[in-house]
Amino acid sequence: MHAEVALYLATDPLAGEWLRGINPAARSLARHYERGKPRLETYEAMADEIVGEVERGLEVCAAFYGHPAVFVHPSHAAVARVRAQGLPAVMLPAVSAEDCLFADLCFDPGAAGCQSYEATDFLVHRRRIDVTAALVLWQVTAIGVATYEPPPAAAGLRVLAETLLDSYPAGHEVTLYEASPFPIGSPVIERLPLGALAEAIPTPLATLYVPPLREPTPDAAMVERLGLTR
Amino acid sequence: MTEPSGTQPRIVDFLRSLAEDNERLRAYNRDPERVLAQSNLTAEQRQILLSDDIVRIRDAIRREEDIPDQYFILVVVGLTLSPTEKKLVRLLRRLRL
Repeated sequence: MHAEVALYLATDPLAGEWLRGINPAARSLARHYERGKPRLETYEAMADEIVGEVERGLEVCAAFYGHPAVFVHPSHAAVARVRAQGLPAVMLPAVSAEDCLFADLCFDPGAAGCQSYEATDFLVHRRRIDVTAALVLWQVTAIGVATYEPPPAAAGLRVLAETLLDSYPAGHEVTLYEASPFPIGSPVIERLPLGALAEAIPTPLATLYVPPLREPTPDAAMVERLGLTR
Repeated sequence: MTEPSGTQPRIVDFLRSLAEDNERLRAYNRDPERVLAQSNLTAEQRQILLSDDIVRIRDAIRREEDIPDQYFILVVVGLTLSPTEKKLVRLLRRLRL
């Protein structure tokens, strides 16, 4: 990270210190967070800061926790706005929370398919669940949170649990998961029956993993059409 | 990167040293107690790291760095926007132009 301007957003001070070790001028975008401020304004302010530095003619690097293109609005907004001005911008891939989940839970999304939603989006848009595929729900501690306040995790989680119980039995085992952000330390893997989810107290960065309920039934006509019977 | 000497030992410095030194990280994974014994960390800090519990480690860092609980919550509440919010962003941009 030898850019003239290095900006970052990290979830823990270790990452921030490490980035400042690489580029002493690196500065955090976290100052845009304010209690009660709508997140729309926060993300736009982050994108404004990134784009503003590019407009000054400087070489800019912005680093975000996890994968910069996964569940990150300011990175996409900044790249789009810079490119719209005819200037070069590159999004580099990294390791997302979901990638860590696949590894730590030994779960292959290719085996049975995988649905992945932000938890509030999942509820608000009444997404249809395919119970024969896995379901990953992000940010289950921040359901219904539009500003930066302590998330009412308990209320939101109860709504989520009730909604999932429409599709899965109470005994279906789900997992609250959080990857280790440190070079050491075990991930948080809390397995519990869906019926107990409403009363669970997830760690702040938890993701919910719901495994498939049953195997899918192949469509005989499609199997035939694709020649898979031969 | 080595841990600074003569100052209050910090878990962040120790973790950073592991993150930047593959040999040290390998040694820690083989024998954490030995590597911790060679560090300047206090007995309490060593116990926290030996717990392997990321929640305990994060809480300890928060205390040491004097970071309010809110910080972690602020950052965790996602960086994404709902489809409706995205439409609003596009509308706001058009209005600005």
